[in-house]
Amino acid sequence: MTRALAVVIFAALAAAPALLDVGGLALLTEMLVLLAIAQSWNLLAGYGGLLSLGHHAFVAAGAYLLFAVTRDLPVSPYIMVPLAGAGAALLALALTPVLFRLREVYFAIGMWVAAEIVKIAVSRLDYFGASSGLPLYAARRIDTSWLPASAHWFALALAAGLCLGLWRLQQSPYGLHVHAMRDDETAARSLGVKTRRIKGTIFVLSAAGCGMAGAISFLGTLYVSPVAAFDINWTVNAIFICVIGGLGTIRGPVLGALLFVLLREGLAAYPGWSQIALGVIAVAVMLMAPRGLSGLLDRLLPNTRRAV
Amino acid sequence: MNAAIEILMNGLFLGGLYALFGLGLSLIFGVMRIANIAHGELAIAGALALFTLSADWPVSPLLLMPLVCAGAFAFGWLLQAQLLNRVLSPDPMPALLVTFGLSVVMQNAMVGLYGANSRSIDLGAVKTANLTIAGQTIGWLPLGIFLLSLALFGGLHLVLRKTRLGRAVRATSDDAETVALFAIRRRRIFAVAMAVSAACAALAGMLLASRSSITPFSGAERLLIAFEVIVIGGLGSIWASYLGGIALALVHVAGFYFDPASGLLYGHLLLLVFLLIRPQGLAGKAVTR
Repeated sequence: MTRALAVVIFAALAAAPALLDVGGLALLTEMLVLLAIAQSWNLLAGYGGLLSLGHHAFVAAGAYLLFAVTRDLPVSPYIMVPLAGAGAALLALALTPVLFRLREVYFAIGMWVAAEIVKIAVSRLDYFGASSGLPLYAARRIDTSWLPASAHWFALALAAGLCLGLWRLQQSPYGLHVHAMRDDETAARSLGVKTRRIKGTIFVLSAAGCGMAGAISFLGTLYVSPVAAFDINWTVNAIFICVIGGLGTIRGPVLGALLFVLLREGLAAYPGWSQIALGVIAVAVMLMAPRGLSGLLDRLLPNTRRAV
Repeated sequence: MNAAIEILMNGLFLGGLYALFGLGLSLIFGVMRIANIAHGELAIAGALALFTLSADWPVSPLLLMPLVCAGAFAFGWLLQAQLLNRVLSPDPMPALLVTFGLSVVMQNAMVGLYGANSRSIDLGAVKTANLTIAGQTIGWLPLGIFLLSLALFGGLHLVLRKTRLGRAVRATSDDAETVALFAIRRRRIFAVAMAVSAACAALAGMLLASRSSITPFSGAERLLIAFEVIVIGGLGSIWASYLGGIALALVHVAGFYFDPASGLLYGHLLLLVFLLIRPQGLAGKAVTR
């Protein structure tokens, strides 16, 4: 049942460029990008137990890599999307020697400081256009009339791929290792779970997901700047989406992303209020229903499978 | 030569204020093993509350500061007693996420109420008064803030060392489980710690707004500064935070002198250096455990 539903939703989303107007498609694409970032963050926090407050660094890394490389080399921006994810993964790998000395609260804020350092470095380097940013020079080489549709398909593929990946993880023995590590790291290690390597792997994968999402998002806007790319709201929104939807579940962030976009569009006339509403809901969820919307759904529909 | 003395002195004075930002965070981390992501927003809220009060009451803002601190104390108490005590567990994530949500709510509420403009508290003649010692001009305000922070650290030191409450706080910090066996109410100690932490944050925010200026968005950088202060200083004693504050401020002042566009960059890099080479900080127990 669940599988059939997923296929129908995927097909409907894939057909969206033919069905929606420009504004509707942009909103849907943005929602999928947000979902992809949220699922990447969810992999690290919900599954791995590592809370990061600096994931916007990986979003920005992916975006900047796409813009800088396609400016200098004759590669298609589309080919650069997965490579931008690889670049963000490399950044994460480079950060592990410092950040993995930290735990819990220290890791969370240490990651934020790392993001600040990368932000200041990028906004001072002329190679990345310093504080004014870069236009997408490679836009000349592609048919830009297809850009909204292809950005949407990329975002859909990434978001769906991440959901599928998390589902595969839950089914696999490796997923059990990750789960054991999150619940009790010392006990897991004593049973032979290679916790350090697992942490490193999910950290790098989570960065790759954010990097691709960043590349796709800024591909659509044709311009990248430090203020927009390193906006901490990328991380803030991912956290709200995961917490409200339900940390460590797959459908949680899907529901969370939907609620996020609905709230924001509904309160568009009152700037700032959607963030306040999301913050209040997130705090209420943590206090009263830590399993989020996904947990509420379980209570309403006791027959659906817990696994998703 | 003059530049070196100027950097040292400015760093020292600013360090007292940084230490005050770190103090509140280090206190709750020491006692509860959680961090308050809204620490910076509490500081900025204190400063903005002072704006509102001094607009209505024609007295010096200096006299209103204790009132704002009392308000922050009460807010911190309620925050811990009503919200954070409900999510206490060995897993720090729920408390972290609750304070994170609070910080976003507070920041947006402050932008809504006060607008995004930068503001500075007007202390009148105090702001520009200065004295000259051995050819160096020293502003009374930075000096006063430095001395005040020193006095507050001394006072807190005495409370922690000499009083019954202080003993209970230190014991809770060492082993909260065992303390419960001695009929000390852990949750009450936590509420006291958060209340003191919030009052410190509010005071630091008001002093910052008197020395320079703030916007409703300044909370995040204050949290990062407070965090860097306690990592660079090290946990274990409040004086470690003081040392960390001075070290960080020296780096910021020197960085600003040689590279005016650097912002907080060199402070962030100092943090990385410490994490790599001396994770236990200048004077403290290891933070990574």
